[in-house]
Amino acid sequence: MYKGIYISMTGMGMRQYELDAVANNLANINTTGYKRQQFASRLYPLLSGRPYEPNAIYQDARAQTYFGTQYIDTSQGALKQTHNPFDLAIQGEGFFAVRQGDKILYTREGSFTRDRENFLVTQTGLKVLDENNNPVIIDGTKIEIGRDGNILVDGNTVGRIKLVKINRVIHVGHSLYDGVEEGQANGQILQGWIESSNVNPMNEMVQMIQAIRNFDFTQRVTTTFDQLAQRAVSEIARI
Amino acid sequence: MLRSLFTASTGMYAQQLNLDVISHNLANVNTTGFKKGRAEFQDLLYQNIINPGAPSDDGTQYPTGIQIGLGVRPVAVAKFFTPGDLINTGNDLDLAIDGDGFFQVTLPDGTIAYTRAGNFRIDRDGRIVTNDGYPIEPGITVPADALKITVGADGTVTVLQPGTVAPVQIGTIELARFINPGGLQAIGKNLFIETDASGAPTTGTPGTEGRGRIVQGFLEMSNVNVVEELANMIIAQRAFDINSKAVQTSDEMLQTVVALKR
Repeated sequence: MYKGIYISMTGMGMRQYELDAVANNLANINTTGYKRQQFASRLYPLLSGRPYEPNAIYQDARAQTYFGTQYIDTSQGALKQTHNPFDLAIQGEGFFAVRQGDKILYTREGSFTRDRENFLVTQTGLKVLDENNNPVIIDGTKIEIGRDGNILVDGNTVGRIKLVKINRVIHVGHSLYDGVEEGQANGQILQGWIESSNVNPMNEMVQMIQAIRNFDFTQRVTTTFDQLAQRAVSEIARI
Repeated sequence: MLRSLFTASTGMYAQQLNLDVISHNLANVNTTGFKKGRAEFQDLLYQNIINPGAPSDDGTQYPTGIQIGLGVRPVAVAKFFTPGDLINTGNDLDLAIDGDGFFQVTLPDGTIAYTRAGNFRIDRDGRIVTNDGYPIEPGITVPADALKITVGADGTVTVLQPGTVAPVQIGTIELARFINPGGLQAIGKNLFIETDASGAPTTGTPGTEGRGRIVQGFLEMSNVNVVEELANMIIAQRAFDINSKAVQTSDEMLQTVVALKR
Protein backbone atom coordinates (compact mmCIF):
# COMPACT_ATOMS: atom_id res chain seq x y z
CA MET A 1 0.00 0.00 0.00
CA TYR A 2 2.53 2.58 1.08
CA LYS A 3 4.89 1.38 -1.60
CA GLY A 4 2.43 2.63 -4.20
CA ILE A 5 2.21 6.04 -2.64
CA TYR A 6 5.96 6.35 -2.58
CA ILE A 7 6.30 5.25 -6.17
CA SER A 8 3.75 7.78 -7.36
CA MET A 9 5.46 10.44 -5.28
CA THR A 10 8.79 9.82 -6.98
CA GLY A 11 6.96 10.13 -10.28
CA MET A 12 5.71 13.56 -9.28
CA GLY A 13 9.21 14.53 -8.17
CA MET A 14 10.57 13.58 -11.56
CA ARG A 15 8.05 15.77 -13.36
CA GLN A 16 9.11 18.60 -11.18
CA TYR A 17 12.72 18.18 -12.30
CA GLU A 18 11.51 17.93 -15.86
CA LEU A 19 9.71 21.22 -15.49
CA ASP A 20 12.82 22.74 -13.90
CA ALA A 21 14.80 21.82 -17.01
CA VAL A 22 12.10 23.17 -19.34
CA ALA A 23 11.94 26.41 -17.35
CA ASN A 24 15.71 26.79 -17.62
CA ASN A 25 15.59 26.22 -21.36
CA LEU A 26 12.82 28.77 -21.72
CA ALA A 27 14.60 31.31 -19.52
CA ASN A 28 17.60 30.99 -21.83
CA ILE A 29 15.65 31.18 -25.07
CA ASN A 30 17.52 34.39 -25.95
CA THR A 31 20.91 33.49 -24.52
CA THR A 32 23.64 33.52 -27.14
CA GLY A 33 25.14 30.08 -27.67
CA TYR A 34 22.96 28.35 -25.06
CA LYS A 35 22.51 24.62 -25.56
CA ARG A 36 19.26 23.17 -24.34
CA GLN A 37 19.07 20.60 -21.65
CA GLN A 38 16.95 17.54 -22.18
CA PHE A 39 15.77 15.64 -19.16
CA ALA A 40 15.38 11.98 -19.95
CA SER A 41 13.07 10.93 -17.15
CA ARG A 42 13.65 7.27 -17.64
CA LEU A 43 12.23 5.56 -14.60
CA TYR A 44 13.80 2.34 -13.58
CA PRO A 45 11.57 -0.69 -14.25
CA LEU A 46 9.89 -2.03 -11.19
CA LEU A 47 11.84 -5.28 -11.07
CA SER A 48 15.22 -3.76 -11.66
CA GLY A 49 16.06 -4.10 -8.01
CA ARG A 50 17.93 -7.10 -6.82
CA PRO A 51 15.26 -9.74 -6.21
CA TYR A 52 17.72 -12.05 -4.43
CA GLU A 53 18.14 -9.58 -1.66
CA PRO A 54 15.93 -10.11 1.39
CA ASN A 55 14.26 -6.70 1.40
CA ALA A 56 13.79 -6.57 -2.34
CA ILE A 57 10.31 -5.08 -2.13
CA TYR A 58 11.54 -1.90 -0.55
CA GLN A 59 14.46 -1.79 -2.93
CA ASP A 60 11.98 -1.75 -5.80
CA ALA A 61 10.20 1.19 -4.35
CA ARG A 62 13.40 3.08 -3.89
CA ALA A 63 14.60 2.16 -7.34
CA GLN A 64 11.83 4.35 -8.65
CA THR A 65 13.41 7.43 -7.20
CA TYR A 66 16.46 6.97 -9.39
CA PHE A 67 16.89 9.58 -12.01
CA GLY A 68 17.16 8.76 -15.61
CA THR A 69 19.67 10.99 -17.22
CA GLN A 70 19.97 14.35 -18.79
CA TYR A 71 21.88 15.30 -21.84
CA ILE A 72 22.88 18.53 -23.42
CA ASP A 73 21.54 18.90 -26.89
CA THR A 74 24.48 20.42 -28.75
CA SER A 75 22.64 20.87 -32.04
CA GLN A 76 23.15 24.07 -33.99
CA GLY A 77 21.28 27.21 -32.94
CA ALA A 78 20.01 29.71 -35.50
CA LEU A 79 22.66 32.10 -36.82
CA LYS A 80 22.03 35.82 -36.73
CA GLN A 81 24.09 38.41 -38.57
CA THR A 82 25.27 41.40 -36.51
CA HIS A 83 28.14 42.84 -38.61
CA ASN A 84 30.12 43.31 -35.42
CA PRO A 85 33.71 42.16 -36.11
CA PHE A 86 34.09 40.56 -32.69
CA ASP A 87 30.91 38.50 -32.92
CA LEU A 88 31.91 34.99 -33.84
CA ALA A 89 29.53 32.11 -34.40
CA ILE A 90 30.43 28.49 -34.87
CA GLN A 91 28.74 26.70 -37.71
CA GLY A 92 28.93 22.99 -37.04
CA GLU A 93 30.62 21.25 -34.19
CA GLY A 94 33.11 22.71 -31.75
CA PHE A 95 33.53 25.09 -28.86
CA PHE A 96 35.69 28.12 -28.19
CA ALA A 97 38.15 27.65 -25.34
CA VAL A 98 38.43 30.32 -22.65
CA ARG A 99 40.57 30.55 -19.54
CA GLN A 100 38.94 30.88 -16.15
CA GLY A 101 41.61 31.00 -13.46
CA ASP A 102 43.83 27.99 -14.10
CA LYS A 103 41.09 26.04 -15.82
CA ILE A 104 40.08 25.91 -19.46
CA LEU A 105 36.35 26.03 -20.08
CA TYR A 106 34.39 26.02 -23.30
CA THR A 107 31.70 28.21 -24.76
CA ARG A 108 29.60 28.76 -27.85
CA GLU A 109 28.79 32.32 -26.83
CA GLY A 110 30.87 34.13 -29.43
CA SER A 111 29.87 37.71 -28.65
CA PHE A 112 33.41 38.68 -27.80
CA THR A 113 34.98 42.04 -27.24
CA ARG A 114 38.46 43.46 -26.80
CA ASP A 115 39.69 44.52 -23.38
CA ARG A 116 42.00 47.48 -22.77
CA GLU A 117 45.08 45.29 -23.17
CA ASN A 118 43.87 44.07 -26.58
CA PHE A 119 42.99 40.59 -25.41
CA LEU A 120 39.98 39.00 -27.06
CA VAL A 121 37.59 38.37 -24.17
CA THR A 122 34.05 37.20 -23.47
CA GLN A 123 31.44 39.61 -22.12
CA THR A 124 32.54 38.64 -18.61
CA GLY A 125 36.22 39.25 -19.38
CA LEU A 126 37.46 35.67 -19.80
CA LYS A 127 40.32 35.44 -22.30
CA VAL A 128 39.70 33.50 -25.50
CA LEU A 129 42.45 30.99 -26.30
CA ASP A 130 44.32 30.20 -29.49
CA GLU A 131 45.52 26.79 -30.71
CA ASN A 132 48.41 26.79 -28.24
CA ASN A 133 46.15 27.70 -25.32
CA ASN A 134 47.55 31.23 -25.21
CA PRO A 135 45.20 34.20 -24.94
CA VAL A 136 44.39 35.78 -28.29
CA ILE A 137 45.72 39.31 -28.64
CA ILE A 138 44.28 41.51 -31.36
CA ASP A 139 46.07 44.80 -31.81
CA GLY A 140 45.09 46.62 -34.93
CA THR A 141 42.28 48.25 -36.80
CA LYS A 142 41.25 45.86 -39.53
CA ILE A 143 40.33 42.50 -38.09
CA GLU A 144 39.42 39.58 -40.27
CA ILE A 145 38.76 36.15 -38.84
CA GLY A 146 38.64 33.34 -41.34
CA ARG A 147 36.31 30.38 -41.31
CA ASP A 148 39.19 28.25 -40.08
CA GLY A 149 39.82 30.62 -37.16
CA ASN A 150 42.85 32.36 -38.64
CA ILE A 151 43.12 35.90 -37.35
CA LEU A 152 44.26 38.52 -39.85
CA VAL A 153 45.06 41.88 -38.31
CA ASP A 154 45.81 44.59 -40.85
CA GLY A 155 46.70 41.84 -43.32
CA ASN A 156 49.07 39.87 -41.05
CA THR A 157 48.25 36.49 -39.54
CA VAL A 158 48.61 36.76 -35.78
CA GLY A 159 47.24 33.40 -34.69
CA ARG A 160 44.39 31.01 -34.89
CA ILE A 161 41.40 30.73 -32.60
CA LYS A 162 41.08 27.36 -30.95
CA LEU A 163 38.00 25.40 -31.93
CA VAL A 164 37.81 22.17 -30.03
CA LYS A 165 35.60 19.14 -29.96
CA ILE A 166 34.55 18.19 -26.43
CA ASN A 167 32.99 15.11 -25.03
CA ARG A 168 30.96 14.61 -21.82
CA VAL A 169 29.70 18.17 -22.00
CA ILE A 170 28.24 19.63 -18.83
CA HIS A 171 26.86 23.05 -18.03
CA VAL A 172 28.92 25.21 -15.72
CA GLY A 173 26.70 28.29 -15.91
CA HIS A 174 27.48 31.75 -17.29
CA SER A 175 27.37 30.26 -20.81
CA LEU A 176 30.34 28.05 -20.06
CA TYR A 177 30.68 24.31 -20.49
CA ASP A 178 33.12 21.79 -19.16
CA GLY A 179 34.11 18.57 -20.81
CA VAL A 180 36.92 16.41 -22.10
CA GLU A 181 38.84 17.72 -25.09
CA GLU A 182 38.84 15.44 -28.07
CA GLY A 183 40.96 17.17 -30.66
CA GLN A 184 40.15 19.83 -33.17
CA ALA A 185 36.58 20.36 -34.28
CA ASN A 186 35.63 20.72 -37.90
CA GLY A 187 33.13 23.52 -37.38
CA GLN A 188 33.61 26.83 -39.13
CA ILE A 189 33.86 30.26 -37.59
CA LEU A 190 31.67 33.00 -39.00
CA GLN A 191 32.73 36.55 -38.27
CA GLY A 192 29.98 39.11 -37.71
CA TRP A 193 27.43 36.51 -36.67
CA ILE A 194 26.14 35.14 -33.39
CA GLU A 195 24.52 31.84 -32.65
CA SER A 196 21.13 32.02 -30.93
CA SER A 197 20.17 29.43 -28.37
CA ASN A 198 18.93 26.14 -29.80
CA VAL A 199 15.80 26.19 -27.66
CA ASN A 200 12.72 25.51 -29.74
CA PRO A 201 9.70 27.02 -27.95
CA MET A 202 7.26 24.55 -29.46
CA ASN A 203 9.29 21.61 -28.28
CA GLU A 204 9.55 23.00 -24.77
CA MET A 205 5.85 23.80 -24.70
CA VAL A 206 4.97 20.20 -25.54
CA GLN A 207 7.37 18.99 -22.86
CA MET A 208 5.80 21.34 -20.38
CA ILE A 209 2.32 20.07 -21.17
CA GLN A 210 3.55 16.49 -20.90
CA ALA A 211 5.16 17.20 -17.54
CA ILE A 212 2.07 18.83 -16.05
CA ARG A 213 -0.32 16.17 -17.35
CA ASN A 214 1.87 13.33 -16.15
CA PHE A 215 2.07 15.11 -12.85
CA ASP A 216 -1.72 15.23 -12.71
CA PHE A 217 -2.06 11.53 -13.56
CA THR A 218 0.44 10.55 -10.93
CA GLN A 219 -1.33 12.71 -8.44
CA ARG A 220 -4.47 10.71 -9.24
CA VAL A 221 -2.62 7.53 -8.39
CA THR A 222 -1.52 9.00 -5.09
CA THR A 223 -5.07 10.06 -4.27
CA THR A 224 -6.37 6.62 -5.19
CA PHE A 225 -3.91 4.98 -2.84
CA ASP A 226 -4.97 7.43 -0.20
CA GLN A 227 -8.61 6.46 -0.72
CA LEU A 228 -7.69 2.80 -0.44
CA ALA A 229 -5.95 3.46 2.82
CA GLN A 230 -8.93 5.39 4.03
CA ARG A 231 -11.24 2.49 3.20
CA ALA A 232 -8.94 0.07 4.92
CA VAL A 233 -9.02 2.18 8.00
CA SER A 234 -12.72 2.99 8.14
CA GLU A 235 -14.61 0.21 6.31
CA ILE A 236 -12.64 -2.86 7.28
CA ALA A 237 -12.72 -1.75 10.86
CA ARG A 238 -16.52 -1.60 10.67
CA ILE A 239 -16.73 -5.36 10.10
CA MET B 1 9.35 25.53 -3.32
CA LEU B 2 9.41 24.90 -7.02
CA ARG B 3 12.70 25.84 -8.64
CA SER B 4 11.04 26.29 -12.00
CA LEU B 5 8.93 29.13 -10.63
CA PHE B 6 12.03 31.20 -9.93
CA THR B 7 13.84 29.98 -13.01
CA ALA B 8 11.01 31.15 -15.23
CA SER B 9 10.81 34.47 -13.43
CA THR B 10 14.49 35.14 -14.20
CA GLY B 11 13.53 34.54 -17.82
CA MET B 12 10.74 37.10 -17.59
CA TYR B 13 13.07 39.60 -15.96
CA ALA B 14 15.69 39.08 -18.66
CA GLN B 15 13.18 39.69 -21.44
CA GLN B 16 11.96 42.81 -19.69
CA LEU B 17 15.50 44.16 -19.74
CA ASN B 18 15.82 43.07 -23.36
CA LEU B 19 12.75 45.14 -24.20
CA ASP B 20 14.16 48.10 -22.25
CA VAL B 21 17.26 48.04 -24.45
CA ILE B 22 15.22 47.66 -27.64
CA SER B 23 12.94 50.56 -26.65
CA HIS B 24 15.95 52.74 -26.00
CA ASN B 25 17.34 51.90 -29.43
CA LEU B 26 14.00 52.68 -31.09
CA ALA B 27 13.60 55.92 -29.15
CA ASN B 28 16.95 57.02 -30.56
CA VAL B 29 16.38 55.91 -34.12
CA ASN B 30 16.72 59.50 -35.31
CA THR B 31 19.43 60.63 -32.91
CA THR B 32 22.56 61.82 -34.67
CA GLY B 33 25.55 59.59 -33.93
CA PHE B 34 23.61 57.23 -31.66
CA LYS B 35 25.04 53.72 -31.32
CA LYS B 36 22.66 50.87 -30.64
CA GLY B 37 22.94 48.45 -27.76
CA ARG B 38 22.13 44.79 -27.48
CA ALA B 39 21.36 42.97 -24.24
CA GLU B 40 23.56 39.92 -23.70
CA PHE B 41 22.47 37.03 -21.51
CA GLN B 42 24.13 34.09 -19.86
CA ASP B 43 22.70 31.07 -18.12
CA LEU B 44 22.89 31.18 -14.33
CA LEU B 45 24.29 28.59 -11.98
CA TYR B 46 23.58 24.89 -12.11
CA GLN B 47 22.62 22.73 -9.17
CA ASN B 48 24.21 19.32 -9.38
CA ILE B 49 21.73 16.71 -8.22
CA ILE B 50 23.98 13.91 -9.40
CA ASN B 51 27.58 14.78 -10.19
CA PRO B 52 28.79 13.70 -13.59
CA GLY B 53 30.91 10.58 -13.20
CA ALA B 54 29.21 9.56 -9.97
CA PRO B 55 28.79 5.79 -9.63
CA SER B 56 25.42 4.45 -10.71
CA ASP B 57 24.65 0.70 -10.65
CA ASP B 58 27.18 -2.07 -10.68
CA GLY B 59 30.34 -0.10 -11.27
CA THR B 60 29.02 2.07 -14.08
CA GLN B 61 29.04 5.85 -13.98
CA TYR B 62 26.57 8.57 -14.84
CA PRO B 63 28.05 10.10 -17.97
CA THR B 64 26.47 13.51 -17.48
CA GLY B 65 24.78 13.44 -14.10
CA ILE B 66 21.78 15.57 -13.36
CA GLN B 67 22.19 19.28 -13.44
CA ILE B 68 19.34 21.67 -12.92
CA GLY B 69 19.84 25.12 -14.34
CA LEU B 70 18.55 28.05 -12.37
CA GLY B 71 17.71 30.48 -15.15
CA VAL B 72 19.28 33.37 -16.92
CA ARG B 73 20.96 36.65 -16.08
CA PRO B 74 21.69 39.74 -18.11
CA VAL B 75 25.45 40.13 -18.37
CA ALA B 76 26.06 43.13 -20.59
CA VAL B 77 24.47 45.65 -22.86
CA ALA B 78 27.00 45.55 -25.65
CA LYS B 79 27.24 48.72 -27.71
CA PHE B 80 27.70 48.47 -31.41
CA PHE B 81 29.89 50.98 -33.12
CA THR B 82 29.02 50.02 -36.65
CA PRO B 83 28.71 53.09 -38.85
CA GLY B 84 25.34 54.80 -39.19
CA ASP B 85 24.12 56.13 -42.52
CA LEU B 86 25.67 59.42 -43.60
CA ILE B 87 23.20 62.01 -44.79
CA ASN B 88 24.00 65.14 -46.67
CA THR B 89 22.89 68.33 -44.94
CA GLY B 90 25.05 70.88 -46.73
CA ASN B 91 25.64 72.65 -43.45
CA ASP B 92 29.29 73.77 -43.02
CA LEU B 93 29.46 72.74 -39.39
CA ASP B 94 27.85 69.33 -39.79
CA LEU B 95 30.72 66.90 -39.64
CA ALA B 96 30.64 63.13 -39.95
CA ILE B 97 33.41 60.64 -39.34
CA ASP B 98 33.95 58.17 -42.13
CA GLY B 99 35.60 55.37 -40.16
CA ASP B 100 36.50 54.79 -36.51
CA GLY B 101 37.07 57.62 -34.08
CA PHE B 102 35.30 60.17 -31.95
CA PHE B 103 35.15 63.94 -31.71
CA GLN B 104 36.39 65.25 -28.38
CA VAL B 105 34.49 67.86 -26.40
CA THR B 106 35.20 69.50 -23.06
CA LEU B 107 32.51 69.18 -20.42
CA PRO B 108 31.86 72.09 -18.02
CA ASP B 109 33.86 70.27 -15.31
CA GLY B 110 36.89 70.06 -17.58
CA THR B 111 36.76 66.35 -18.43
CA ILE B 112 36.87 65.24 -22.01
CA ALA B 113 33.88 63.41 -23.48
CA TYR B 114 33.68 61.69 -26.82
CA THR B 115 30.95 61.80 -29.42
CA ARG B 116 30.11 60.67 -32.91
CA ALA B 117 27.46 63.37 -33.30
CA GLY B 118 29.07 66.02 -35.46
CA ASN B 119 26.29 68.60 -35.49
CA PHE B 120 28.37 71.51 -34.25
CA ARG B 121 27.43 75.17 -33.89
CA ILE B 122 29.24 78.41 -33.22
CA ASP B 123 28.56 80.11 -29.89
CA ARG B 124 28.57 83.85 -29.28
CA ASP B 125 32.31 83.81 -28.56
CA GLY B 126 32.99 82.22 -31.93
CA ARG B 127 33.92 78.82 -30.44
CA ILE B 128 32.87 75.64 -32.20
CA VAL B 129 30.55 73.88 -29.75
CA THR B 130 28.05 71.03 -29.58
CA ASN B 131 24.32 71.70 -29.37
CA ASP B 132 24.71 71.69 -25.59
CA GLY B 133 27.42 74.37 -25.78
CA TYR B 134 30.35 72.10 -24.98
CA PRO B 135 33.44 73.33 -26.87
CA ILE B 136 35.30 71.00 -29.18
CA GLU B 137 38.75 69.89 -28.00
CA PRO B 138 41.26 71.29 -28.97
CA GLY B 139 39.25 74.52 -28.95
CA ILE B 140 38.73 76.32 -32.24
CA THR B 141 37.54 79.90 -32.43
CA VAL B 142 36.07 81.18 -35.65
CA PRO B 143 36.73 84.86 -36.41
CA ALA B 144 33.57 86.97 -36.38
CA ASP B 145 34.06 88.10 -39.97
CA ALA B 146 34.56 84.62 -41.42
CA LEU B 147 32.68 84.13 -44.65
CA LYS B 148 33.06 80.44 -45.19
CA ILE B 149 34.36 77.65 -42.99
CA THR B 150 35.98 74.63 -44.60
CA VAL B 151 36.90 71.46 -42.77
CA GLY B 152 39.25 69.12 -44.59
CA ALA B 153 39.23 65.34 -44.44
CA ASP B 154 42.34 65.57 -42.24
CA GLY B 155 40.58 67.90 -39.79
CA THR B 156 42.14 71.21 -40.77
CA VAL B 157 39.68 74.06 -40.31
CA THR B 158 40.16 77.03 -42.60
CA VAL B 159 38.14 80.19 -43.07
CA LEU B 160 37.85 82.69 -45.83
CA GLN B 161 37.88 86.28 -44.63
CA PRO B 162 36.70 89.35 -46.49
CA GLY B 163 39.32 90.97 -48.66
CA THR B 164 41.51 87.89 -48.92
CA VAL B 165 41.63 85.10 -51.43
CA ALA B 166 43.76 82.59 -49.52
CA PRO B 167 41.98 80.64 -46.78
CA VAL B 168 43.44 80.97 -43.28
CA GLN B 169 43.89 77.94 -41.06
CA ILE B 170 42.34 78.50 -37.62
CA GLY B 171 42.82 75.07 -36.09
CA THR B 172 42.72 71.32 -36.50
CA ILE B 173 40.05 68.93 -35.31
CA GLU B 174 41.58 65.87 -33.72
CA LEU B 175 39.88 62.54 -33.36
CA ALA B 176 40.21 60.03 -30.54
CA ARG B 177 40.21 56.31 -31.07
CA PHE B 178 39.64 53.56 -28.54
CA ILE B 179 40.88 50.04 -28.65
CA ASN B 180 37.54 48.86 -27.20
CA PRO B 181 34.84 51.43 -27.92
CA GLY B 182 32.29 48.91 -26.58
CA GLY B 183 33.68 49.65 -23.13
CA LEU B 184 32.87 53.36 -23.27
CA GLN B 185 30.29 54.64 -20.84
CA ALA B 186 27.36 56.49 -22.36
CA ILE B 187 26.42 59.52 -20.30
CA GLY B 188 23.55 60.79 -22.44
CA LYS B 189 23.51 63.81 -24.75
CA ASN B 190 25.27 61.65 -27.37
CA LEU B 191 28.39 61.64 -25.23
CA PHE B 192 30.65 58.86 -24.04
CA ILE B 193 33.38 58.90 -21.43
CA GLU B 194 36.45 56.77 -21.09
CA THR B 195 36.45 53.79 -18.68
CA ASP B 196 38.90 51.13 -17.60
CA ALA B 197 37.36 48.77 -20.12
CA SER B 198 37.64 51.11 -23.08
CA GLY B 199 41.28 51.92 -22.43
CA ALA B 200 42.86 55.33 -22.92
CA PRO B 201 42.18 57.14 -26.19
CA THR B 202 44.83 57.67 -28.80
CA THR B 203 44.27 61.08 -30.33
CA GLY B 204 45.58 62.44 -33.56
CA THR B 205 44.92 63.69 -37.02
CA PRO B 206 41.88 62.24 -38.82
CA GLY B 207 42.82 59.71 -41.44
CA THR B 208 45.89 58.41 -39.61
CA GLU B 209 46.34 55.25 -37.54
CA GLY B 210 42.91 53.91 -38.32
CA ARG B 211 41.10 57.09 -37.37
CA GLY B 212 38.42 57.93 -39.86
CA ARG B 213 38.38 60.93 -42.11
CA ILE B 214 36.10 63.88 -41.56
CA VAL B 215 33.38 64.57 -44.09
CA GLN B 216 32.01 68.08 -44.06
CA GLY B 217 28.35 68.76 -44.74
CA PHE B 218 27.27 65.30 -43.63
CA LEU B 219 25.75 63.91 -40.45
CA GLU B 220 25.97 60.39 -39.19
CA MET B 221 22.56 59.00 -38.33
CA SER B 222 21.99 56.37 -35.66
CA ASN B 223 22.94 52.82 -36.58
CA VAL B 224 19.59 51.51 -35.38
CA ASN B 225 17.90 49.26 -37.88
CA VAL B 226 14.18 49.57 -37.24
CA VAL B 227 13.22 46.30 -38.90
CA GLU B 228 15.80 44.41 -36.87
CA GLU B 229 14.66 46.05 -33.63
CA LEU B 230 11.04 45.21 -34.35
CA ALA B 231 11.98 41.60 -34.98
CA ASN B 232 13.89 41.61 -31.69
CA MET B 233 10.88 43.13 -29.99
CA ILE B 234 8.65 40.32 -31.20
CA ILE B 235 11.18 37.75 -30.03
CA ALA B 236 11.42 39.43 -26.61
CA GLN B 237 7.65 39.52 -26.23
CA ARG B 238 7.20 35.89 -27.18
CA ALA B 239 10.04 34.84 -24.91
CA PHE B 240 8.36 36.76 -22.09
CA ASP B 241 5.03 35.06 -22.88
CA ILE B 242 6.46 31.59 -22.88
CA ASN B 243 8.30 32.17 -19.62
CA SER B 244 5.08 33.34 -18.04
CA LYS B 245 3.56 30.05 -19.20
CA ALA B 246 6.28 28.22 -17.31
CA VAL B 247 5.43 30.23 -14.20
CA GLN B 248 1.78 29.28 -14.65
CA THR B 249 2.61 25.63 -15.11
CA SER B 250 4.75 25.62 -11.97
CA ASP B 251 1.88 27.23 -10.15
CA GLU B 252 -0.51 24.55 -11.41
CA MET B 253 1.81 21.84 -10.14
CA LEU B 254 1.97 23.52 -6.79
CA GLN B 255 -1.79 23.74 -6.72
CA THR B 256 -2.06 20.03 -7.47
CA VAL B 257 0.33 19.26 -4.63
CA VAL B 258 -1.64 21.39 -2.22
CA ALA B 259 -4.85 19.69 -3.33
CA LEU B 260 -3.37 16.27 -2.54
CA LYS B 261 -4.33 16.56 1.10
CA ARG B 262 -8.06 16.91 1.21
